[in-house]
Amino acid sequence: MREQDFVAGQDFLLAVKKQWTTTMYPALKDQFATASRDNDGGKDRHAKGDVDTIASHMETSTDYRLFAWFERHLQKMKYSGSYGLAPYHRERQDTLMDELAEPLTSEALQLDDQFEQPAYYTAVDIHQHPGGVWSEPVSGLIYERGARTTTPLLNKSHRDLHDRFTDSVLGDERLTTGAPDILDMGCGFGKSTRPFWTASPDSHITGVDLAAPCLRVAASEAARDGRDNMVFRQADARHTGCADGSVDLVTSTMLLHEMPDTARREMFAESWRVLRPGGLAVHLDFWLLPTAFDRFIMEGHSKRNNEPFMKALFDSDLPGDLRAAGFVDIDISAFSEADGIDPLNAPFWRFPWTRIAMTKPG
Amino acid sequence: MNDSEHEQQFLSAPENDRLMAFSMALATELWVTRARLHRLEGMLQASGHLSDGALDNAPDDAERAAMQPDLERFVSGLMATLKGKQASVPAGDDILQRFV
Repeated sequence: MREQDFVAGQDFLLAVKKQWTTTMYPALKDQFATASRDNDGGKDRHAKGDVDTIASHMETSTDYRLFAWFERHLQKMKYSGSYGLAPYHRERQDTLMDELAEPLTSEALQLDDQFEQPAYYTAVDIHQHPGGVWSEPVSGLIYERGARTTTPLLNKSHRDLHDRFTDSVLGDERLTTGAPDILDMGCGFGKSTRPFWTASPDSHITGVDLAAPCLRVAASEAARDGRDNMVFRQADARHTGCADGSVDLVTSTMLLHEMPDTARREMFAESWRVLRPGGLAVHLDFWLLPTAFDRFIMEGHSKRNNEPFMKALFDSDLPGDLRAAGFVDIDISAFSEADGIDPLNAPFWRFPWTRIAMTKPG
Repeated sequence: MNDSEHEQQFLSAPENDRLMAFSMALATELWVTRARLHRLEGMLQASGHLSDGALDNAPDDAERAAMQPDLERFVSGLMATLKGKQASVPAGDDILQRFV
C-alpha cells in the first residue's frame, strides 16, 4: 500500500465520518424529536419512553438503518479496508518497530512474557481492531493511529480532550500534593498519561495496561520526552503490582466501559487499595446520558463498535459500586471535550464524556 | 454478537448491506485516484510539463464534442442501474410446465 493512497483513503473515510457526525445524526435526532412531539400532542420535543420503545420506532426507519450501517462500516473500513490501518501497519511492521525509542531506564518498561490476558479481553476485537490492541507487535501503533480520529470533530487535536481532563484533575482542590504520585490505569499507548507527565514533570507516574504493544509505544513516547521517572507495566488494573497506599492519584481514561461489571468493581477495589488516605481517583468515561434517545444511540454504538461492556456500564449503579468500594465525595458530572460544547445537548454526535471523581477517606 | 463470521445487518436485506459496502469501497478508490491525480497535476506543473491552469480551463467546443458520446454512454450506464429492469429474457414461472 502506497503512503499517498493510505493517507487519501483514510482522509476520505474521516470526511464521511464527519458528515455522519454533523448531518446524519442531527437529522435522525430531529426526526425522532418530531415523532415524539407528534405522539405527545406537541407537549414535549424531547425523547420519552424507554430504550426498547425508541428502538421499536427507529429500527423501521431507513435513515436510522443507514446511520447504523455507516457507523459500523466506516469503522470497519478504517481498520480493515483496502486502505485500512491494520494492513498499512502490518506491511511496515519491522520498520515501524525499529523506529520506537528505547526506554531510558530498565525499569521504564516492564513486560511479562507469561502474562495471561483476561478471557473477556480477548473474546472481542474491541473498536473492530482486527486482533485487538494486544495481539501483535504493531497493535499499539495501529491503535495510536486509529485513536487520532476516534472523536472526528477533534481530529488531530484529539489530545485536547486529555489535556482538558488532566487540567481538571490536577486542579481538583481535593488533590493536596503538588507533585502527586500517579497511577494511570489502562494507559494504552500513553495518550492519557502524556498530559500528566507534561503538566506534572516531578510526579512519579506508573501506567498499567494489559497490552504489551501499547505499553511499548507509551514507553517510547516517554523516552522521547526525556522522562525517566515513568513506569509502564504490563498488568491488569485489578492487580496493578503497586504497594498499598502508595499513590496520591489514580486515573483512567476510557477504561471503565471496556470492563465487565465484576472486573470493574475489582478495579475500584484495587484503586482504593493503592491510594493513600485522602487520595483522589478520577476517571473519564461514558456514563451520563441526558435522554433515552442518547442512551439508545450509545447502546447501538456499544454493539456496532464491538464494545459490549459499554452497555453494561450504562446499566450499572456506578455511585453504588463506588460507595461499596469505600469511596466518599463521589462527584459524577458531564465533561466537555472542547470549548463551546454543551455536553448535555450537543447538535452533533459525540461521546457522553463523564468525569467520575472520588476520594479515599483520610 | 456471537456470530464471529457474518457481518451485522442493518438494511432490509443482506444484499443491500453488501452493496453498500461495495459502493463505499468504490467511492474510496475514486477518492484515492482523485487525490493521486491532483498530486500528479501539481508535479507536472512544477516540472513545467503542464502549464499552470491548463487542465482547469474549459475545453473548447471541439474537445467537448469529441467526448460527448463517451459522456452519454457513461450517464446512460449509470442511470440504467436505477430502473431495476432485467436485461435478458427471464425464465418465467411456467418455464418447466411449458417445456416438459
